[in-house]
Amino acid sequence: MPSPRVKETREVDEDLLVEAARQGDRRAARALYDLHRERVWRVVYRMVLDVEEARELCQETWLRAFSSIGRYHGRSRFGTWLLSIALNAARSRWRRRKRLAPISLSNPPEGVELLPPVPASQRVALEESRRSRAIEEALRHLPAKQRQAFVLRYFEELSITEVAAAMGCREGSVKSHLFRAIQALRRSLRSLSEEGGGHDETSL
Amino acid sequence: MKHPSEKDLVSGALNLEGGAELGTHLAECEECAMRVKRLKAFLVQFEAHTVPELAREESSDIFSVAWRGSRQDRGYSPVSPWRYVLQGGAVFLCGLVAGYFLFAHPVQAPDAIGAEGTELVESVSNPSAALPTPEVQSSVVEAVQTPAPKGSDFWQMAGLKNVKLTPTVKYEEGKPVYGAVLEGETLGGALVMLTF
Ligand SMILES: [Zn+2]
Repeated sequence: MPSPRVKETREVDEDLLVEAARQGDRRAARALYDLHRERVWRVVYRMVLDVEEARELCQETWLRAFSSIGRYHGRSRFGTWLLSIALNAARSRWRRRKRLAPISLSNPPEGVELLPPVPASQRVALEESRRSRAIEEALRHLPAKQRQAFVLRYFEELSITEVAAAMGCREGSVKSHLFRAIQALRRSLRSLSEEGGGHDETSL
Repeated sequence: MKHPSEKDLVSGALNLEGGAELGTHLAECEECAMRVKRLKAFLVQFEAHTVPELAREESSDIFSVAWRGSRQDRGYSPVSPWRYVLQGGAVFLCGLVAGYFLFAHPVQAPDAIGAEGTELVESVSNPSAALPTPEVQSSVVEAVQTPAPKGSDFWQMAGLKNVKLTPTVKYEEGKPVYGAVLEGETLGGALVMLTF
């Protein structure tokens, strides 16, 4: 099977790589993987906030992506399509987990899907600073859709259109999720800051 | 002066498509400009959030496992319309076989047509998987020895003769995958072999 000439991977038309990967070209698939692996890793990590679980989710995302690459028709960018697979994988993982062990939350918003808290033993964040841990803790308590919207818009700097495509919802909903995410983060960080005895840096 | 909503200010702080209207208001309203400034300052602290690195070997493993797995899923072949044709053919064939057993058994020898009757031989490649009961087996043998009756000549209706249908079972990763091999001739005499 002929490979597209990989001169400078980022210059190669992604559609050509997708087409070649669809035909079974391993090198093209690897080039696609290298183009997107870091973003996929960052996003799935921030969805589960646990290295081991993020690794499994990452594996699942790429397996699903390569298995269904024949169904990618270029309506959205490949990277956006990939992220929608990652978000779906995270969602079904969460549903499986919820079935196994329902988690009661002190204040669950009605009708909102929540991402699972990670067991305390695995909560060893690599960040040393208290602020960084506080941020992780605040993200952990965000409901799934709010976290998805915030991670994709704020950390990955995707446009609202792209976030909507990846999440499979309307742009207006993305804006609402973002707004609520920021309000929730402000509340979380404020209370964490008070718990830690620090002064309140987050009030507006 | 009508101040924009909190939601619009958040959009502004996130550099979303807020439109020129918000920009104009922020230029004129110190209060709202300050709120957006605070929001931006709040958001900046999230830059401190870092994601652990994924080791290079681990990353390569993820690719290899995903790629290999996806190849197995797709049977090492690109998506082809023939796959759907064959699947359709398999369903059709199952219908024919079911029809044969429902409507043409037991074999009625007295009204047999001439020597050119269809011969049906069934064999099982893995006898333990699908061994017919002795009673059924004897009727199959009878069908082989006796010219098939008019009513059961479904292969001819399908444009085939001298058909031999062999059920198969193969094991993929320990799971049985059932199929069949059909060998025969078209009425025009061309040899046919289909694997399902
Ligand atoms: Zn104002």
